[in-house]
Amino acid sequence: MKDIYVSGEEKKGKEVVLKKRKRQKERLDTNPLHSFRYHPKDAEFIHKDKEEEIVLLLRQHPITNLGWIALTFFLLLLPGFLTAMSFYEALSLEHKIISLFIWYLFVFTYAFEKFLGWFFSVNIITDVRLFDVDFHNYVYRKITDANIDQIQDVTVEGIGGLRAAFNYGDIRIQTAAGVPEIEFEAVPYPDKAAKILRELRTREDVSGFARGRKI
Amino acid sequence: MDIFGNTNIPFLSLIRPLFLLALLVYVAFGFIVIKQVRLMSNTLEIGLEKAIEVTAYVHMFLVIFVFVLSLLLF
Repeated sequence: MKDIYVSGEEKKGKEVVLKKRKRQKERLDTNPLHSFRYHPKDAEFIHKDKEEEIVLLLRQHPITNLGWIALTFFLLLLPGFLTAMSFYEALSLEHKIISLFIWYLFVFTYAFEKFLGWFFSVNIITDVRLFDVDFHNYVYRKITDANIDQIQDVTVEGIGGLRAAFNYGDIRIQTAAGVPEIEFEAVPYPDKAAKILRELRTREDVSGFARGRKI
Repeated sequence: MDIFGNTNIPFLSLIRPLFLLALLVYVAFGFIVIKQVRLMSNTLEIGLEKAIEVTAYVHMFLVIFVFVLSLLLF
């Protein structure tokens, strides 16, 4: 029921909550590292039409980075243990310096590649199509796109305790396009994303019907 | 079995060219990293492109630095 009288303090409280929510929403939209960006500002992709609007930008949940971050820390600490071994003591100072530089360079290359793999592997949902970018490594990338009206079926999968705890999962999208299936892997809030996709499909169906495509 | 025992060629003089060649390949790889990062930045504009490009250049600089250091010290 709508309140007939709202005191000044209550009004202030509501304003604070609204401002806080607005700030949170802005943070979600503008933080480039966020995994679930609804109507992201300043986001663009290649061959995007002028009128096309990005509705959702997804990438893998940050928790999926835990493995390579832990491994990177271990690799950073490893030379500390090696220096205690006898064969390392046998090396000259120059060789020790070079081997350490090369080791840390390899670790840097590995961590940078993993970060890029996470950062650039995104799934973009616009009001007309899906755009899936997979950055596998420094020399292999794959870009797939399909129109919203070509989507036939959307399946949400969330198997495992970690996925349940952090609320992330896979979304499999069957399409009638050249690529029969597009997969959004380990994305946060998969149900929300699937719901947005469903709404877009419905809207596209209705507008398609209005344009006489479905007759 | 000591394969280098019967010759006058020191072990390191055999390893050195192979090692430097491997590092040269790494330098080429550093260029590929920059190229790929630029390509991805052109494909997607989702923020942090400048920072990532700078990191790719720092990586390239470090690879060249290690190569030069190896030429001097190894």
